[in-house]
Amino acid sequence: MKNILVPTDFSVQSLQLVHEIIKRNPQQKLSIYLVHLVQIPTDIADLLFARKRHLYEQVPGKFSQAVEMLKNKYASRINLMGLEFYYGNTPTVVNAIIENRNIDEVYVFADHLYNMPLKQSVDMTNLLNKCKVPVVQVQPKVRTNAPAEAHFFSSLFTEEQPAPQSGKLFQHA
Amino acid sequence: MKIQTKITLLFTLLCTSIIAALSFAVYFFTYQNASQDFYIRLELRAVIAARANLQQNGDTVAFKEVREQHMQRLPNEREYIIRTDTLKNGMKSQLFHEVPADFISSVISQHKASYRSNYDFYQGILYSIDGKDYLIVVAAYNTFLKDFLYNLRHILLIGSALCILVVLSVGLIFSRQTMAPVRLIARQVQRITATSLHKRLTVKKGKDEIAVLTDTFNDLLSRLETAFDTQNNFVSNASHELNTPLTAIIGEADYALARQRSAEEYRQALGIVVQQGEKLQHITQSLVQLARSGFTESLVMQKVLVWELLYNAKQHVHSVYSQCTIQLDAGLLPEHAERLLVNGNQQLLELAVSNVLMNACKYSNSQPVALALAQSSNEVMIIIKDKGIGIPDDELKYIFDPFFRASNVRNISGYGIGLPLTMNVVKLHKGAVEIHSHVGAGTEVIIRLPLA
Repeated sequence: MKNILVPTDFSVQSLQLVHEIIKRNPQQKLSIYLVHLVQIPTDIADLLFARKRHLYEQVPGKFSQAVEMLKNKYASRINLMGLEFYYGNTPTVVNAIIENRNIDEVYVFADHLYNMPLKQSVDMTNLLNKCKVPVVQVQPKVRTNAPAEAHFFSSLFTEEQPAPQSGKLFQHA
Repeated sequence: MKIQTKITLLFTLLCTSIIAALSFAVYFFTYQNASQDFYIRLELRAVIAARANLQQNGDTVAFKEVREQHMQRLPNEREYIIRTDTLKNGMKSQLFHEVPADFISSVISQHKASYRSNYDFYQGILYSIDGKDYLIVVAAYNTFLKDFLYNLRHILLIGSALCILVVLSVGLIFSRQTMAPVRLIARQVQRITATSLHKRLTVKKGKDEIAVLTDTFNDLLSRLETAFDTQNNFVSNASHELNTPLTAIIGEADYALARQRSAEEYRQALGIVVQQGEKLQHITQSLVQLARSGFTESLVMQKVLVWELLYNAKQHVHSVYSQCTIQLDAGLLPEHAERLLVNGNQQLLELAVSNVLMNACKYSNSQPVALALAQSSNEVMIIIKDKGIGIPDDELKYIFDPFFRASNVRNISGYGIGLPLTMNVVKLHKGAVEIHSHVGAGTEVIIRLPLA
């Protein structure tokens, strides 16, 4: 059982890391926390009511669907996988999350510029340098920075062929 | 008769009968009960008359005075004072011609009684003084009641007539309103002809009968359109398929006939003709089979294995575009993919998927096409990604219109039937088709189907 933190910008392609995480941690149950940092609100209404629902409503549907698809793909490997919002823009906040969630490893794309999907988004990659747990840099597959394509489900394709047991079905079909 | 008129008439009839019944009831009960007050007045007068006429002491004068000065005489007011013991011989009195005998007897037995003949009201009391009983009857003609009832009758009649008028007009408006959606549907349906089957009725929000009717119509239209498009698609595909061997045969024959040839050359040419002819025969046979098996039957819905569906579609596309590689991608493949089922018609779904695959092959210059299967919480998603020419952003919204073709297709032949057909088939299965595209980078088509 391993807890893993993955920064996300709600793009489908940021979920490519999940494939990599599964590959690098064979025979282990994993809990994957997809984390997005946002600025501490300055608006009085936001301060009074912690309106996280507001934030969740801005998450694109394709991202949530892609999360579900991956959960179905790795049903026996993933214990839980879900999106979490945290307020703050300091390394301390990141460490607090890591402590709070018992995170064992952090996975990020090497030299990947994350998009800022919300106006209060915080780029988390810069805050990981004082991180207490190992940060694994993953070289991204061929990827584009065109926002439209970042939401293609096909950015999660691995170009590997289906497992042989499904191939068997193919043969007698 | 129009339903609208029927509703109006029925509504008016119903309301009229209610109003009429109410008016009758009001009139009847008023007629019966409005006289109570008059009896009380008559009784009071009877008592005063008794006091004024029969009292022995000085009060008599006072009562007489009160009567003469303060009490207005009622129309046709009469009073009768008869000692009861003279009743037997007092039969000559006018009173006995006016009232029945049981009124007199009930006055004597109950000390008080009233009688009414039309608007003539009689109130009798038994008055005892000095040990003697007197029968005192005061009668008067009730003009108040008469006038009152007359007025009431007029008001009720005029009121009812007005009410009926109002009800009629309200009923007319009301029935018009009720029937408006039906008229709208009729008008819209009239506009849909064999060439404009892609049009749909505007769907109202909600779950009322009209919305259900509209949905039913739209479903029917979808099925019809699918059938039509299937035919069109079939014909165009078939003609294309048939054309290729025919061209070869004609070409070969032309070549052979162009000049005198050796026997060997003729044999060779005829060999090719036979070969192409056999191909033609094979195609026609398979076309007949296709026509028999698939599209002539009514829509049979059954549990379909998605895997098998993808496999068959892939095979079919391979047979048409042999140079195109379709890669099954396991990137999102759920763990029990081989058990995923959807409710639907296998042939139609295969047609839908293979149409998208064929488009992917056709517009991607023989670059590999990726085909993937994924599962979200309640849907199966078939994702087809090509690296082809893409679709311009502003044309994406027309992509499901029949015969629409994107501006960048250049010389790639096509009819603009495939995607609309796919859309219709998927709609029939309560799914959805999504297209995301980027010019030059490729197109991703997502077919969503609800899990069985």
